[in-house]
Amino acid sequence: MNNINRSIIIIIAVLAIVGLSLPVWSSTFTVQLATRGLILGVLAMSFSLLAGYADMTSLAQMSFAAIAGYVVGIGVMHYGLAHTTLIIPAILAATILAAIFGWIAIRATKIYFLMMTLALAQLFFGIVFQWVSLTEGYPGITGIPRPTIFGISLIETPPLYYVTLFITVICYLLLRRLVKSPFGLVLQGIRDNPKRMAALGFNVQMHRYLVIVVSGAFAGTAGILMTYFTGVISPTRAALTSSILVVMAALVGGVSSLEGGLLGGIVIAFLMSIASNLTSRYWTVVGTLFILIVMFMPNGLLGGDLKLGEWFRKLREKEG
Amino acid sequence: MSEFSDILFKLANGLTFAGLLFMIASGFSLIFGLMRVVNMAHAVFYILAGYVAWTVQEAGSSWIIAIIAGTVAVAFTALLVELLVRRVKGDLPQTLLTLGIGIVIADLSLWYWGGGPRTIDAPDLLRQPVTIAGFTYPGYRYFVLILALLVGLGLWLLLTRTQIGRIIRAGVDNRPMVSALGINIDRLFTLVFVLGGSLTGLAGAIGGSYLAIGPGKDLEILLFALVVVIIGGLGSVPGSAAGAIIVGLVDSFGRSYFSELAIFLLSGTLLVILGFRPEGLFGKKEQ
Repeated sequence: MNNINRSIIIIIAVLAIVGLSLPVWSSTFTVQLATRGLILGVLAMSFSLLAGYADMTSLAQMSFAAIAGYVVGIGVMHYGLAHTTLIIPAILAATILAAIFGWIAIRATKIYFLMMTLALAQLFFGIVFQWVSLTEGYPGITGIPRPTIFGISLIETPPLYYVTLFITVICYLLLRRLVKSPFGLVLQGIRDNPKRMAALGFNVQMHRYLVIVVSGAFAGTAGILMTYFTGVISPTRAALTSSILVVMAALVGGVSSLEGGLLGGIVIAFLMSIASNLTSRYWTVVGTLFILIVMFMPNGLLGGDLKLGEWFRKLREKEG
Repeated sequence: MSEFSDILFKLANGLTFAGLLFMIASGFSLIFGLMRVVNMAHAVFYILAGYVAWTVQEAGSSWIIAIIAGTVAVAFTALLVELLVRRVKGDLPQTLLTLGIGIVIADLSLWYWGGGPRTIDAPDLLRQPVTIAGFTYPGYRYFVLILALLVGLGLWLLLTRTQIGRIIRAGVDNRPMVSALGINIDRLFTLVFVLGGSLTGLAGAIGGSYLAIGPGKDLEILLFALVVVIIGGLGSVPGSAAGAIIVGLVDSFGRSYFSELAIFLLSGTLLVILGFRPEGLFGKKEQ
């Protein structure tokens, strides 16, 4: 076994030990924050998959998360359905919404794409806000009980945390597989030079479309977890302000990697918790932080701004 | 009220709203056309102008002073925002920056002005109902409509009859070329950003008399502005006018006939128009 692999294994081992033992040595509050951070991490990964690997900055990821949450909320509270039966329909709903949004937004690229997804996300927000008979409007559906899934009750904080951790790891591994697959490589080729990829015979639009749909499924998965975690689904979930946290998490970690999204999710969850304790002007802090991140660390923690990624590479080279 | 005058009333409501939307969207569209920045703080400018106008009026000033104060305050804010936006490079980071700025301004406004709705009192003269050919309609709404037409006319004159207007239009079509011709494009950006912001400010101060200003209003306005410019075509002022009329009418009739699902009608309109013309009614195909 060579040394590069060894340092990676050490990092993974440390993360696994910290992740698995967290509920043992830390407070319930910290475990809750970590849960929130992991969910935000999955959302940030779904954002980075589009923004970092396909050059499509989407502001609609929270719409996909929200529709999955609404399927859970409406299914459980209005129709008395079991949580387990709603998992697949919820992910499916998010995927279908992504398929619809993608079909429209795909005609645009770069900044036009951002604008399109913003408009679609705002329309979706308007729909869930106005359609009171289905969504209960502004206050949303509250008091959604936490589920028991495959015999495990998620009412307590630690089991929900472990399930979230497990699903986050699965999502990460699947996404990693995806970006390293031939499909993912074509996608990155399209990001770097769409004309050349089209000339090489790749169906550029089909690749872009499929990755939007896939990202919708992952955002939907995060949306289900978030609904379990908060017990609430309201239009706020689909609002621009929620999208900002996702974009911020992805930017902080660095959009050029999936790991950046995960790291960013956890960092932002903890930072925001500190901010909400310090001040009642929560959104002023969020906005200011967002401005500072955009201005001074556009590449994120793993993308070279704090030289963390470079530091790891050097470490590897030294060991190699 | 007869059925005919009822329809006429909704038509007039739609057109009035369209007038307001045009004032908001034309600036938004020009800023985008020229700078390729989706100014997400644009809708926040709208409520900020309304709040400032309200405060000035509460302090005892006349209506006209309040309107001017709201507009000028936003023009100044737009100037500051542009100076900040200029510090980062690239349309995407710039857009994200305006998003952050918008959130901060909206939250500080909530802090200062509270969560309640604020309405600016229109002068008595404009409050009288006006009857034209047997159709009675609030005078203030006629005023909004006329003002929007004047703004449209002014913009049209500016863009077609003045040198600055020609440069702006050239910049929308081909920014590097305009820059290469030795024109100070940065100053042009500032000018258009402040102009666009002022128009939205004016709309906010004027609109604050019949659509109350309050938290969340900015997001509503942002949605309408986005749909208007996407339907109309980005960077096109006639497009903003056409988009505003379509959205205004769809909203007015949709609200009365479909109530809680009116927004589906708006979404459907957007989809149908994009289906036929992905670049919008007056838009040019993106390079």
